[in-house]
Amino acid sequence: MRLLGRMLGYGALTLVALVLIFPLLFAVSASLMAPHELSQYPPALLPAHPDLGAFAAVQRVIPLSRQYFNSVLVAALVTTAQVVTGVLSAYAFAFLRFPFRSLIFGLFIATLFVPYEAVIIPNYLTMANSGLIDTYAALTLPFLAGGVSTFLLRQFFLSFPRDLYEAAIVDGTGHLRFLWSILVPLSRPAIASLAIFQFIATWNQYFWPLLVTRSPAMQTLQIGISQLQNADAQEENVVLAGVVLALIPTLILTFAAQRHIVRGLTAGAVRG
Amino acid sequence: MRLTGRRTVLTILILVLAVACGGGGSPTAQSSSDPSPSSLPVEVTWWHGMGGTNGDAVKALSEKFNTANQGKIHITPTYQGNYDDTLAKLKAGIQSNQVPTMVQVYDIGSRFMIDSKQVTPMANFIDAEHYSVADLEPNILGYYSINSKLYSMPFNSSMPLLYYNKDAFTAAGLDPSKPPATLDEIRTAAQKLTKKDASGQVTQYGFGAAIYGWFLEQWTARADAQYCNNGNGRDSNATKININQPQDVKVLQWWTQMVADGLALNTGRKTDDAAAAFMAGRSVINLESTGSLRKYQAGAKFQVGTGFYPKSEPGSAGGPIIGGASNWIMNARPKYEQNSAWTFIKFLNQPDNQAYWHTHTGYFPTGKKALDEPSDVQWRQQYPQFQTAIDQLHQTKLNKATQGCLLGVMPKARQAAEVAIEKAILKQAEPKKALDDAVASIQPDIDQYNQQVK
Repeated sequence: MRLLGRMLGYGALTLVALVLIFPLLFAVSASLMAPHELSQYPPALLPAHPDLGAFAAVQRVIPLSRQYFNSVLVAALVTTAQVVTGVLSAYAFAFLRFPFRSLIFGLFIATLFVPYEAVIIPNYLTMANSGLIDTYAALTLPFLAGGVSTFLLRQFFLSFPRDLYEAAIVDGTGHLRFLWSILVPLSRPAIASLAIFQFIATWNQYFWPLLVTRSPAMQTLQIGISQLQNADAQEENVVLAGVVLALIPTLILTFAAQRHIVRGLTAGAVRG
Repeated sequence: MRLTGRRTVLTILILVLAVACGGGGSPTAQSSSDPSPSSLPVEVTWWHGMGGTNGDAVKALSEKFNTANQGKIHITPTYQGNYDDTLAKLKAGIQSNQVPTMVQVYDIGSRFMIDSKQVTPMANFIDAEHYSVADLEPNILGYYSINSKLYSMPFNSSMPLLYYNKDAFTAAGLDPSKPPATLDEIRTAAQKLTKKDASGQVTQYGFGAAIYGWFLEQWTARADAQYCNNGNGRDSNATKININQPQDVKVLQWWTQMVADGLALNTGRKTDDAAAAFMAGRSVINLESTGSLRKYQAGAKFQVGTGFYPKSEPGSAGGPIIGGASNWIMNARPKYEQNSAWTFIKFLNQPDNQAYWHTHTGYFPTGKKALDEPSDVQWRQQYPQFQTAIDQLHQTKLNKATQGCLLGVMPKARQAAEVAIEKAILKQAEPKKALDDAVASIQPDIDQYNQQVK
């Protein structure tokens, strides 16, 4: 009886999982299809003759490896910087006492309410006036620090046992030593989920990289994917082949850090 | 304690600076009035919005040009997102003097480009060297000319066509060689073409087109009427759009009734969805750009037929408007760079290159001689349906109505028209009311735009 209930439970879960993962599986399947298979009704689920032609077409239309490299580099740089700046500022707000702390923290939080669209042109003009257009600096500079990272990590740090901190200080540990040897290792779930969040957000950026790059060699993969689209005659299999390729790094990262993510989501939710 | 606190701040600063500098590169030089190039070859940048196979053709033609002009001119085509993205990027670029030498802008961005005063009209280059435009299609040049002055060079041009499933026509006892030419004829054919299964579910609709504002513009021109006032925005800036006129109301009433009677399939605004429904055989008669022909040939399992864009007024002499995009030369760039871009534009206009462009993308060749190129003749044997497009282009009488409306906020007007069509089809408003609302909703945008450019 219990076994039956379990089986039913797993059956239902599998079904839900299938529904959720279906778009992903279909994208892989469709990227291997011929154009006419994509337009038939009722739709085909699996390619009759799996064919890598669409992937070859992707390679032909865009400088794939270069744009892949750009995306990975930019996302990695931004993620690393966000974690470093986030850890340091969150540490200050959570553990240090200094004048106007709440006010300054409030200002940090206030930046979360400024819509991205409102700063994009001023940021662009700054980059253009500094002669940074079409460089990695333009792609990364505006995103090296952010209120989200500070806020997320501060909340996590606040739940850190104060006794541990005080014990370490009494034993003569300096701030940086405490930070790197005790706080960071114990905060891995929060840091991992922040890193994944930042990586995916940067990876998926479209308009900013489009705005500040000028040559195909500096463009990121997301721009490459939009280039796979044909204004008047969409080739869905080619576009989906590009999408499948672009998904790989985010999938690897998500799977590698899945356990951390799930723990990280609830971390800091309950204080103390 | 104090000291470490300060050191932390310092560490942050150093870190930020290190990352900032590490990613840096050399700033690009920007000059605007140099009399002659400082070094050869002259670098010409070209922003375009051509993806997929069209992007391939752009690359191939640019490479061919670069090989022929080695050591003199080097053209770098760069994809800048779709048409909307490219224009958005150009607008940002104008503010900071970061503009390319040449940019491809879609048809409905033309008024903005002229009013921006950032371009050198093609007419200047043409007059300077008495370049002959006799070979170029007057109906294509017409869209990009104001008072007979050509502002940009048409590049990728298309027109809407009526596409139909010949097999379904035969099965329904209709003549597969006679596509419907008017709205009434479409309705009559659709009544025969629409099929239901035992449970009363429609399995095949007679008609199915995307809710695409472009189609309304085309119907207006087909009825020989002007979409906006002041000579379709060509005598002076248009101050009002006229899409609530009797011929527009008639079209929308017809469309609404077709959907209400189950004769037309409504797939929403995305043209890709309507195209997919047509290729899957769910709808038999479809409206789409000439640019979609190749996709239809590849994706449909039936014989694809093409006909002229249908008329709402059977007797009218109007014809459809050319669509697509054109190339503009930016006047902020040095003169020699602009001249090099002009050399490239002349290269693109050559019959052999136009034939290449036509046969690799499905867009119109802009010149008549291209049609005599062997590769082009052969291509049209493979796609005889394209002849319909060429005949339609040649038979269209060029006047203000068929030149199309030039309006600074045309993209928004098109959206407003789509809202109106959608409202009417979904029975949220009567067709006349929906169109009146669209005209009213776009008015503040038109007024604001005209104030800005005055």
